[in-house]
Amino acid sequence: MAKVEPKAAAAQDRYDLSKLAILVVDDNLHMRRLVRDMLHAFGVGQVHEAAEGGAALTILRQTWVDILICDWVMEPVDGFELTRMLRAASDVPNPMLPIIMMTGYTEAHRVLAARDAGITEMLAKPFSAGKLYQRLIATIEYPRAFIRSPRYTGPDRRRFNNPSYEGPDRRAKKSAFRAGG
Amino acid sequence: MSDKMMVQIIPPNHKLKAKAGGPNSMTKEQALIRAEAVVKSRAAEFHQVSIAAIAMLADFWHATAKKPGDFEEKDIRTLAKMAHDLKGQGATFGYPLVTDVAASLFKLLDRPPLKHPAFKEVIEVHVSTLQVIIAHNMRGDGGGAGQALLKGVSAAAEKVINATPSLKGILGGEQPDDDDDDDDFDRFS
Repeated sequence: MAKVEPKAAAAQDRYDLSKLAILVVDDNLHMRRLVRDMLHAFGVGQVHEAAEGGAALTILRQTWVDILICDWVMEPVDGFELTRMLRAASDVPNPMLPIIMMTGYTEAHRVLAARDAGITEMLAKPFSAGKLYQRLIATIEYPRAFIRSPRYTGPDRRRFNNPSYEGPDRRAKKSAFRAGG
Repeated sequence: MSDKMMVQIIPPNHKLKAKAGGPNSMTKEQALIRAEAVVKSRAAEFHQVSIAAIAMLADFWHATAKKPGDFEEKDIRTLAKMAHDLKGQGATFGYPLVTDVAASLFKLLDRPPLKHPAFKEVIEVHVSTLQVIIAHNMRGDGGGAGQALLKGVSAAAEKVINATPSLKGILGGEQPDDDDDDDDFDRFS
């Protein structure tokens, strides 16, 4: 099974994240502020904050955000619903932005549900600064194609290119067109 | 329009990588040293936050336990949410033992064996263990004493859970039989 390698240059060992804008969404104030402060320590230029999905969507409508980092369990709009709403939104400047979902839910069926909602990466809680950094850099270094189909909108769920794949074809067999971007 | 006609594949772009190159770059090691200094500087705050979170869970549990009759699902759901939050923040805030005990409590509450005679007692043991951990500021794995506490509560929870098959997940809906494998997370990440 061959891994799909990005066409860009090899991974760097230094990053200047000062031009990035990241939105952190978590209903736990202390967790949210810790993530914010870790991101600032990594050199991220702009960190926006929201306590739940509805407030996050308001920010996403008004502001360019490069990466969304959100918790799963929040009220009234949780991270799962936020992901669905964002991917379907027509009034958000960057609806294809990478989403890193922070969650204590690490069981297979929940991970797959989050993936099918359109998230890009998962960050298991509890996490360390190293894990957060790793997910952030993976998002930057390994961008994925974005799929819009009747059944799914989000980053390409196929992380591996397997020419001998014989399972069900959940996407339509042939795409009608490929768009630039 | 058929499904085939509506699939759009937008190739990946490297705009984020282009944005991440600049004069203020730092290595992973430099970034982590700075971030870990942030975590260290907030240890006292995290201790207070953990004390408050465990006290809130204990207060809610004691109020719930005093109610006459059967447990109400909404109360168990609230307790499960509190345990889930503690599980998520414990180790990040310097208390991995809190994460482990809260994970055991969450597992018990997520598929609550409401009719099991020891259900209430096992919750009580978890809550009091969390209080002991934070009262003694047991950071890290808690050493031998901490691990003994964890082993005790986990065994009690497993005994009750295993005696009550086919339970419903309270925060996440129905769960498949093979739902207890956290390593599945790595299949995606």
